[in-house]
Amino acid sequence: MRVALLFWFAAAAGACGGGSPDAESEAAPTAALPDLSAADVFVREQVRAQHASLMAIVQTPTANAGRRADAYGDMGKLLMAAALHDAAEPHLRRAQTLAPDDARWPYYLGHLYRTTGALDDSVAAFNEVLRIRPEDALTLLWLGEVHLLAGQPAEAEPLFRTQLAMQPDSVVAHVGIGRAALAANDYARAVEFLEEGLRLSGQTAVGVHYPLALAYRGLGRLDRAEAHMRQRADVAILAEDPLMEELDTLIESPRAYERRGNRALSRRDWVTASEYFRRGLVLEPADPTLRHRLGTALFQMGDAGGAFAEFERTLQTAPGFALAHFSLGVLLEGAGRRPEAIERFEAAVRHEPAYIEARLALAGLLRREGRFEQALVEYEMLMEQGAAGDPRIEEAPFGHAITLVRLGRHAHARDRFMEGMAAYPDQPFFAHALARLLSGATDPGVRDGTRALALMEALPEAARSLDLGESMAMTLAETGRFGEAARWQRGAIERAMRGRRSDLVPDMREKLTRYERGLPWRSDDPVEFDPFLERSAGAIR
Amino acid sequence: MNRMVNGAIRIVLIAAVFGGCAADPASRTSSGGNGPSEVTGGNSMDSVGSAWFVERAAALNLDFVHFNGASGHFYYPEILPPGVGLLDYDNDGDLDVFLVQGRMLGPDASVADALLPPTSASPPTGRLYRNDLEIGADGNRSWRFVDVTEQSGLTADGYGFGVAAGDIDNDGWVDLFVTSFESDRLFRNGGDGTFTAVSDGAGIEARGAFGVSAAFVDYDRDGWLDLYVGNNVDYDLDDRTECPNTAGARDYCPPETYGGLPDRLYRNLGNGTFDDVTPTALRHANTGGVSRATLGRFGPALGVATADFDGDGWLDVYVANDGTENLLWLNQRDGTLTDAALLSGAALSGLGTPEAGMGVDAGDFDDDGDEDLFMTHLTTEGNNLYVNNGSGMFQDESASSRLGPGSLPYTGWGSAWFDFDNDGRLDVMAVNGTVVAVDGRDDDPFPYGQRNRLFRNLGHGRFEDVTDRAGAVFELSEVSRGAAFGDIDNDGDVDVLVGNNSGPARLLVNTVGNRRHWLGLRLVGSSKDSPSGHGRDMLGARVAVIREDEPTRWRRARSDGSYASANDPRVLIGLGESTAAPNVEVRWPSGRTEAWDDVAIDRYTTLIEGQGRHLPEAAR
Repeated sequence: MRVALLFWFAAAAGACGGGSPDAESEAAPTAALPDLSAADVFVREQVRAQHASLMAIVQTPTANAGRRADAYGDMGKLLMAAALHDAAEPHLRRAQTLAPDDARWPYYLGHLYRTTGALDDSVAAFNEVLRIRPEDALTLLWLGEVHLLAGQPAEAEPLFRTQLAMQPDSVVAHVGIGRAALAANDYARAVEFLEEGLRLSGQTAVGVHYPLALAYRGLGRLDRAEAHMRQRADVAILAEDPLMEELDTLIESPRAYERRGNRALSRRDWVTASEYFRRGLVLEPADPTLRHRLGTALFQMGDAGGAFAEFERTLQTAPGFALAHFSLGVLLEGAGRRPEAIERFEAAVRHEPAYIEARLALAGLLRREGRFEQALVEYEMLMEQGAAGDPRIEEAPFGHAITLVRLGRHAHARDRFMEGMAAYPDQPFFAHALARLLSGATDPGVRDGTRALALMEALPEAARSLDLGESMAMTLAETGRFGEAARWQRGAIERAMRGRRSDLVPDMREKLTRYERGLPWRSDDPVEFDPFLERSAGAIR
Repeated sequence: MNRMVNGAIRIVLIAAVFGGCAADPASRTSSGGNGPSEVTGGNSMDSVGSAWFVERAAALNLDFVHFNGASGHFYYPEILPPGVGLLDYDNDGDLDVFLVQGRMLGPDASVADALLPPTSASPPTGRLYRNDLEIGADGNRSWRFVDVTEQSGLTADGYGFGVAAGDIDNDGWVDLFVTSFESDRLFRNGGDGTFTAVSDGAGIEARGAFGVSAAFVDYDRDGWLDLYVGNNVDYDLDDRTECPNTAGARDYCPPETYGGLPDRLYRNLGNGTFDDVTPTALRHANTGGVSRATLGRFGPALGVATADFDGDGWLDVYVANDGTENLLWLNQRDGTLTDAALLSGAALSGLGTPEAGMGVDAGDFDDDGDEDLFMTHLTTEGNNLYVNNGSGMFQDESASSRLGPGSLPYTGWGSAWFDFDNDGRLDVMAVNGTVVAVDGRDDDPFPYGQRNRLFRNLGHGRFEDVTDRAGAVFELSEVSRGAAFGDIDNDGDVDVLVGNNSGPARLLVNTVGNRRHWLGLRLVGSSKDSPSGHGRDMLGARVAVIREDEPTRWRRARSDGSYASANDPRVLIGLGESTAAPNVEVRWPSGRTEAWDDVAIDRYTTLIEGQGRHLPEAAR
């Protein structure tokens, strides 16, 4: 695809050199500037500067058609980059009129029309590019894409095939043919080309999995369909597109840099992200969002000190910026400075009471610090804020229940675990914790060995292996099956030793001794484990 | 700041006549002068030359103007309403109107702060308009709407989004469920022209939720209408996230900024109360890579439609989510529903991309006996047509049908399958309006308007955009949201009520449909135990209209679908030029199937469950 880039600039250069001075008035297109009053000052000034530049060239009698075309085209590109499509179109069309052999302008128009849904116009524009450059690979692909979007697979496929003939290992062309076949219900051919596209990509074209799943489903091969469905990802399969990428860099505003930085963060390109955030801060140094995200990028790069400094600077300009308080709290907790971390989490929820994650972090840390009564207040607040049943934060109901266990309120804790099981049926730790509570609680009104054993036996195999068999031993002992309990416990001890957790062994042996004596195990804290214990430490990666 | 979604950063980041109303000959005369026998061929509509739809809201005293309370803070809820509702609350045989209203949002907000002040000096609230349609023996009619909100006791003064209608207590009087920002509200119809708020006692008031679309559906076949509520986002007015557009101008944030809230399924216990069975009744799928709890797959819901998608006789639920995978809850016939949207092909676009699902409706547009889906989306995404293969497996035919490409420039909301020209094929309409400001509209204080679109079914899976022939009302550029479809003037064709954000409600009166013949059916349950003497509308009942030499047309009684709106529960089937009385087969939600022969055409007939000819299983 880099070949395409060379062509484009060569074509552009050629176009720029041609043409002759044109004295006709060109005021009409330039008068089509949109209302910019709502735009931020940076974009407004940039557009106006570009417009002034355009006007200067238009009013220069010696400026030839190529130069004027470039001026119109640059104006159109900037407006297009600002998503001001209605305003961009006449400028790009004017550029096309002035430089009819410059393929850039119909190319941008093709994209502009595709973006606004004017598919017939898009097809015409891309076809105009192909008139100028019949074998332009990128245009063939995009034209094929527009035909697919328009429900014209028969028109799309030859374009992809033409491109494939030029580049036999083209992933995009294979996928394009596969998608055209799928649109025509030719499932076998769709599978053939989509699989080949996936193979050629080294299995990285994960966006192929969804159409491939549909193709296999069409063939009745549901197992294959389900397998690909599991691997699907919302990732477009596109060729590199230098002209469009250039468009993406035109707007220079804090928000534009923020968007670019965020995209870089999404692709885990921390260095690029930090650069974008820094450039945004040059334009708007007091912007708390940019500064906070710079801190995020720095942390991801391993510069925890730099991140800490940026978060603190964020709070200097925006003391109520809850996100920065939260981030500092996470950093401080990670550094073992737990009291300070708690203060930061408290500040975050004070400035933004509905900040679920911060309150969750606060509750969790208070719990780990043994401040159970305070933790309970925060968990109950989370429940009031609708955290119960929220799929994203199963930690809240679990932490709530665990805190109740720590406070010795076992019956209440039992009810919370049961609610958690109902709300999160595929999260085994609710059932697991409940089983331990029902087995080892000191409150006889809570203990229910039979039910505990049923819960343990219903746990998925993988979940049972997590607790080294110790929970099973507990439940067996509670039902009076001490011999089996002792065997399970010995096995758990062996696994602990093999897993280099000899630190757990003394307590485990103590339990074994009880089972061997025909005694069940009792504890004020029979649950013990906490699947979310390492969450905060893992939050910053 | 973005919420959970932006985690990467956040983690430090009815053989009685319905109301006694036969089609009104006078109305035919007034709309073209053609009696049924005078209807001509398929292109006659075009040659008549008059508008197919005429906007008559204001003329009929339907003078509602929506108020969104926008004050420059770009509160997320402002961009979503209003839904609209059609329901015969007084059982007088014509459809009345309920319109959802907004109000100011935010602490200490005053109407004086409104960018678009309300048109009425009285506090904004949802309004109920009684339809005073009278058709004389001579066919002359008088028609107007009367605002009866105050005497009805229907106090919907929250920031409203949508409305659903259904008879929750089988008393024959349709009840109302209003979704709103603060809390959803259930109003029980007293049968005397008044409503009583019963949310708290009924157990379905969801404080802090964000219900938009809802649907009444008897998913467990116990004879009582249950309620599915599609919730949108986890939004708080204190959220200070700002979302500038590419040019840096502030605009409304997308839903992913806030993250979705779990929907809710409320089981009707038959004693005036509901039980929230969401955690136990809605199950995650075993396929498609779903490994998290069901609750983890709820998205920001905007549209809800219920139908029997997999042909097993049990009602399923489809949810259009905004920017995330849609949900297809297939009824497992044991009190649970399992989401099978992914492998069904109705969760994502054909490219595997989650789209901004807004409105949705189910209908058998291709007359193959199953329920197909039409959904509206954001600009550049295009509307979607998912064609059902009969077993709940769908194929995205958006592009080949032309419904997708023709809608790319629009952001669609309310929509429905309806046969506007009564040629027998289901057409489709989408009402539109953006969620991001349209550039270049310097003088527009709320620059989100777009034209609504009408697509005619050409058969063979193809549609054509006939908006430009549909009438002057289709030239308006408004911020349309809800749309309710029904025969509001009882003249045998489907009219459309449109709710506009920060604009007047529009009543699009169909003047073209009844130039052809039609069959009108109201499908109701037995009135044996109903105190009103009326059976309730059997939402979800499917009806097959069987004629020689014509494809069997399957339709269903429903009030759900579209966007945040309640539709006419009656079934209206276009018969084209055919004057033969068709046979009718009804599959009731209870599982019972019955038949009626030679049902009269060009009038409404009520079919009561238990009074038809019972069909044994083998005859189905």
